[in-house]
Amino acid sequence: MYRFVILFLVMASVAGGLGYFQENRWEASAVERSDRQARLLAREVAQEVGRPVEVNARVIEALAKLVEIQGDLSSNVLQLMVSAQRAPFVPFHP
Amino acid sequence: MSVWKAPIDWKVGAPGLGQARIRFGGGPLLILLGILSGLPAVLIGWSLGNLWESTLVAKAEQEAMLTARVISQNVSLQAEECVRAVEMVAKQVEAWGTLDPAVLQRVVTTEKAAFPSLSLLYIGNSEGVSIAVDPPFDKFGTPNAGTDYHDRDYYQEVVRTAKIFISPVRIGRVSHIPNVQIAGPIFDRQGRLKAFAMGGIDVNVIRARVAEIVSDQSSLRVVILDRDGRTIVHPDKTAGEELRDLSKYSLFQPTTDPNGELRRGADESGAAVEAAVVPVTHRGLNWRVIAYEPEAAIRAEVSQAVRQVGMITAAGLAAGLMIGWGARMNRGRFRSNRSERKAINGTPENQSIQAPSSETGKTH
Repeated sequence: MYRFVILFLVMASVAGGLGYFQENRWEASAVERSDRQARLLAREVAQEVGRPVEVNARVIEALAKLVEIQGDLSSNVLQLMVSAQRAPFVPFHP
Repeated sequence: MSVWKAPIDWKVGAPGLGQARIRFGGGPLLILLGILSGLPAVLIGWSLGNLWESTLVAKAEQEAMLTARVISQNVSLQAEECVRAVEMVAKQVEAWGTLDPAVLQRVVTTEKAAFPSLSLLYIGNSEGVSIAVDPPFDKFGTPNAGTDYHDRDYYQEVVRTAKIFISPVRIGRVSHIPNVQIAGPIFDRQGRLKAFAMGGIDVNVIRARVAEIVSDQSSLRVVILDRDGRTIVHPDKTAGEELRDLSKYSLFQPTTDPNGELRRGADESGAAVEAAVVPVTHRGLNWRVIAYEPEAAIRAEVSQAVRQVGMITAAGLAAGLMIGWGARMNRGRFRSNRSERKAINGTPENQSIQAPSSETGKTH
């Protein structure tokens, strides 16, 4: 009887070992890919959130320089410049 | 060695481990069982290998699709930013109401500084000749202003439609690098076209962003093609520099699905790949992003697992075989000892019948 028990144990240990190693490998692979995707998404979301702020800051800097170049502070001239600078950036609130 | 002591123990009537081993027989049946014991492991291993391969392919496709979508979105944003920059310059020139090159030069230089992804920004007159350009000189030191662009498609399209136009990728006449040109009309107070603004998107900026996005994904490759199938971004730098035409390869064909499409095919080198193709439809660009992973890279990962499965299975099979073989050897020795006893004692049959039966009760 015990010879079958031993055989069963051998079979069980093979299946168990196989399951253990495969599970570890699958888990490591799945975790690695998921981590990579999560990192990619997080980085890109951060980038997209930061981008409008960055662009708008640069647009404002450019407008400030243009006003310096223009040298005229009369409101009609400035109004045209401000409107021109803002127009393409629709969500850009004054 | 203890195996050989067993019959002696049995002979003196002392039950021992040796006897138990002698009784551990089974011969061919055990060998067969040993082999059979490996079968489930082989089948499980084979099935797991297949399952893992399909799972890995699905994961690779998912990752390629996500990356392609992210890049498509990113390219759209970059293009949008540059389009707005050109619109902004055009509107500033309208607001300033002058085509004086000295004034426009300062405006152009100021506006371009705000948009580093533009390789070139200029104002051209209604004849298609540049008036104010930033950078003001090319790499040979020649002034960029005064260059005639009237043969360029973007100038002709702006004159024809009085709307923003985005060109396919090409080598810039002044910048001498691959770029995408965006041109927009400049109107006078009566609404007539009096000039145009042109901004060139530096393709290297797009390439740098793509490289940053895929920096974690060593086996993933990304190609971006313009509407004509010319290369904007490619893992092979040369392909990008020479704007290689990949339109003849089925893998790189445009997709009609706005959400992207999964493909299996061969890249231009003939390597089998799993790919995701996502269009960049923003502002009528009609570019496409192809993110792909070579099947060889996926298979390499699977083969590692299959090797492991094979090793474990082989170890199990070997263990089963050794048990079967060991049992057979013991049985053979048990029989040979019986023959020896028969030769020495004359009536081993009676003992062999009695002794094992009495000890079987003790040992089991």
